[in-house]
Amino acid sequence: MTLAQELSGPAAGTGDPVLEVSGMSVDIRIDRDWVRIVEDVSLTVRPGETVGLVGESGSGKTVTSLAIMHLLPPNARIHGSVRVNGRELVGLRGRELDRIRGPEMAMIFQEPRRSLNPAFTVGDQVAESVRRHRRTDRRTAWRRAVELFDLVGIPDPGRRASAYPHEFSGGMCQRVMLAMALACEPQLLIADEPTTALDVTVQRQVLALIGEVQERLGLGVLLITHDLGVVAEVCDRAAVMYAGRISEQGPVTDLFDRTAHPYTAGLLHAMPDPVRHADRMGSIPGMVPPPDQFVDGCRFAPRCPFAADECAAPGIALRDVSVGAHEHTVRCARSGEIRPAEAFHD
Amino acid sequence: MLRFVLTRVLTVVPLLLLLTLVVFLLVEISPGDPAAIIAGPEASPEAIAAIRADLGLDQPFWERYFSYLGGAVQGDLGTSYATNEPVTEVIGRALPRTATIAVFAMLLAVVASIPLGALAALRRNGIVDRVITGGSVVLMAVPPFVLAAVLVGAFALGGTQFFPPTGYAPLSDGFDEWLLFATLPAIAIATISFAELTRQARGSLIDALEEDYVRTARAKGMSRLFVVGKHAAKNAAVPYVTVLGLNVGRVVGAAVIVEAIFNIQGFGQLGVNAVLGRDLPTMQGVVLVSGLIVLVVNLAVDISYGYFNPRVRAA
Repeated sequence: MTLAQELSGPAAGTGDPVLEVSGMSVDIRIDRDWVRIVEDVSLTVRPGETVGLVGESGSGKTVTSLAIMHLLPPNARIHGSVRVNGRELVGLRGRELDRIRGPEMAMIFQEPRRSLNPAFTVGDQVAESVRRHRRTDRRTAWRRAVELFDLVGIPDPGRRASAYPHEFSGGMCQRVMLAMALACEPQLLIADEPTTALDVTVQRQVLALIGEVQERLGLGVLLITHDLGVVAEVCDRAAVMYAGRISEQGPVTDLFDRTAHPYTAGLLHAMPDPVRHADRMGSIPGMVPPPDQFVDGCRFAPRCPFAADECAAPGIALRDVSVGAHEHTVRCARSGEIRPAEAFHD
Repeated sequence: MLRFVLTRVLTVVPLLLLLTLVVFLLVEISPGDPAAIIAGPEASPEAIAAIRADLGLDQPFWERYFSYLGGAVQGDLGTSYATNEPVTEVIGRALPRTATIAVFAMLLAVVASIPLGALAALRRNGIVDRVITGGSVVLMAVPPFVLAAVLVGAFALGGTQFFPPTGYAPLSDGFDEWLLFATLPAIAIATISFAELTRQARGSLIDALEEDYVRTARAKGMSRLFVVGKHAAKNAAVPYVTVLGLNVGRVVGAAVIVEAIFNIQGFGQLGVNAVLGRDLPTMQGVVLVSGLIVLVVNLAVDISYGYFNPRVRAA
């Protein structure tokens, strides 16, 4: 069977979810105390669909993605449920997770060059994954690696497979990472800021490539990014995270056109606008609080122009603000009373 | 890689020449007249002059250097003043004793330090780690001669006589016999290096395990043991091998003292006796061979960098 025949997936956004996160929280131990750094995250990714996870630095989006992969350091613990292809991962032992990482879910990272081992050829690093999960011999695994390099658009793949990571550009390293992630045909790809460390022109190529292989393989993609421009371009749905919680989630068009959370509005306001001048680019005053200063009420309230007394009350629930068939939810105490789109206008 | 190895080997050539020059100068600048020493205190000036002419000491410096160099290339390092034997033969007799014990000591240190260092790294800050790192600090503080005495007291004298307290048997007497005599000296020599290498193995493995590529390997489902043994180990090898190379010198140094305790007529003893007896050709030979060993070890370490770290090859 050729790669092209292998690569045909179902239509985007249909079918059983490849990833279902519900009520997931992550604690890390600092000295003797457990500090909750991610709280009550729920997400669904279906085959062929790209879901964005958006937020500033410190919002918990990378922790969320590592928690899904179960790649958190030993001083972290996960509560709630993470299902991949319907199977619960929380509570599985290391060996069982090793059989799921690779063939069912894979991940690419922010710094592609650092994410590759400098001491081994790129071909070897892709082939070892094939050998591990497919139990093939060395030569078959290498051939598969070369095929994958061809798939992700690495020129002269047969020769380049024997090269070391330092002989590749950043963009090419990310292509290698993608080939590695696709090696065992996972159904879920988690991409943690895959283009942040790359040149602008290369960013577009890598994003286009992810979209291309996604279409061919019917991959579900969870894209972690701080860049709403990227979200607008490639995501079907997105979740906006702030200080360890999801503040708003819904179809990308709804997030942009019917913004329900002041924080989302702030992020939109802070987006570079080619029409506006750079010196007038907006910002949200203040910073994301560190996890030991997280409050029970709305964590965005100190930076929110609409903040009122009710925002300090604990346990603000997610509210459904959907218009139409696609779910659109928001965690804002004043949802309905305010017009977030006007939040940060000068 | 072949080109890398060749360039490394070529860089050793000028160092070798420099080494021979330094060795030769060593005698030139050392106080005392060798001819007078050989002739003895009662000798007449004519007798001393005759001996000087006989040794070629009346020739100009460069001429004597090149004749020494020419001889050295052919394996002729002169004749020992003490025994009138060729220096090459004297060294050829003493060096294997020290070399076999030193290689044995290095092997012990490496074979023990890697698993222990890895264990400590994987159980970082746990009880096992604390015992290993704490123990290695203690061992680093014990001088080889103290350890040698303790080992002899514990395993060669008194109630438990597993090993002979002193002496040596060459490998030609059989491996078992050699092992019996070599074990205690090797342990005494190896311990400090073992302790240092264990700490290095632990530290460099911990550093490697924190790198992003380890997370990548875990993300594609490689087992923890595989990631440590392949991905982390090859990167951790570079600092480890550096320290290993430095410890070859330490082992040779420790051998000098430990040989004296175990009464092994090895390379270290040969050097000490040559210095004490003003046996200049033997002294030269010992320094030359020691320098050669250091050069070869450094070359091997350099070449290993090229294997462990492909980025070095390009440079």
